[in-house]
Amino acid sequence: MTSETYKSELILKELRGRQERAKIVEIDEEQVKMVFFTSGDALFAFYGSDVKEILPIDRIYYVPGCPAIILGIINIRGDVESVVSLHRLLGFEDKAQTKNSKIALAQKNGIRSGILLDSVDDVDDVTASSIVPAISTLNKNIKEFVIGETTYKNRNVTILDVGKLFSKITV
Amino acid sequence: MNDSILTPSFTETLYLLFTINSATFAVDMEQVAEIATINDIKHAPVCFHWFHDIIGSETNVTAYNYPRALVVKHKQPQTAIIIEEPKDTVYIPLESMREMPGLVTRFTNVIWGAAFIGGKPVYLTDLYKIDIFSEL
Repeated sequence: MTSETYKSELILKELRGRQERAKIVEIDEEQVKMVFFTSGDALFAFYGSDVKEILPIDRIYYVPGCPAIILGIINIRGDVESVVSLHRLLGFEDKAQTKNSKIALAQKNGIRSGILLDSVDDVDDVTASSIVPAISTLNKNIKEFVIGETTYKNRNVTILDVGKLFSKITV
Repeated sequence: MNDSILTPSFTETLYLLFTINSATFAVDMEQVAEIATINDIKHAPVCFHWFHDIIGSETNVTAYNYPRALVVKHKQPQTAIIIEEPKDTVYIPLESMREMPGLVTRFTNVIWGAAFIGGKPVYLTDLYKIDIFSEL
């Protein structure tokens, strides 16, 4: 009986082998944190390393003399931060703020500002290999801000570069 | 010009508050020589400039009939900044003042900071940073 190989043991051995191989893949594959959000009707993402905080929507105070892209300032625990409109940066129509609206406090290339988003869907890791160059037929208003694409829950996600968004305002 | 005259007092700064298009601004009283209606300015002759134009805001002239002007102290050309009716003078503690975010100051360098008073921002304004002075 001891020399006999049970089928169940063979199956278990195969399962354990697959689990080990899966672990090895997870360790080796570089993970990238992403903030997934909706703007307009599309799903976008920022690199998590560029987003310092996700804030609930609060009153945004208009600052005279600023371009329309800058919606104003907010008070975050006693500090003052600017808020920019992603809709206006991407050439989308303005949309009324809802309870799902969020402000992503982002920082890149020495510039820090809040970015108004329609909603934040998730913060999650994706594998670096899943990030691919964006399709060439992308809307030209968006194209200049895009780093690449990935998939999230079987949906195509356009990854936006916070630095390029800020550069558009400051040039 | 004597630099000591311009030495700012940080702890006890009196600010003049006024409102333009529902935004409240604060001007350091140390930079103001005179507040008067346009016809009663003692420091005449002065160049007049609308504060609205300086901050790039729209002017709604029909909203006020007797605009006041602030004559800017120690600056040439002698200049009066036309504002709406002054609201109040207040001491704003240093602890309440916050630097304006970099994205904002790129467009409005006259507004250097904000202080939240009663939950609303008061925009701290440096009259000496107005282009008409820096261009000289």
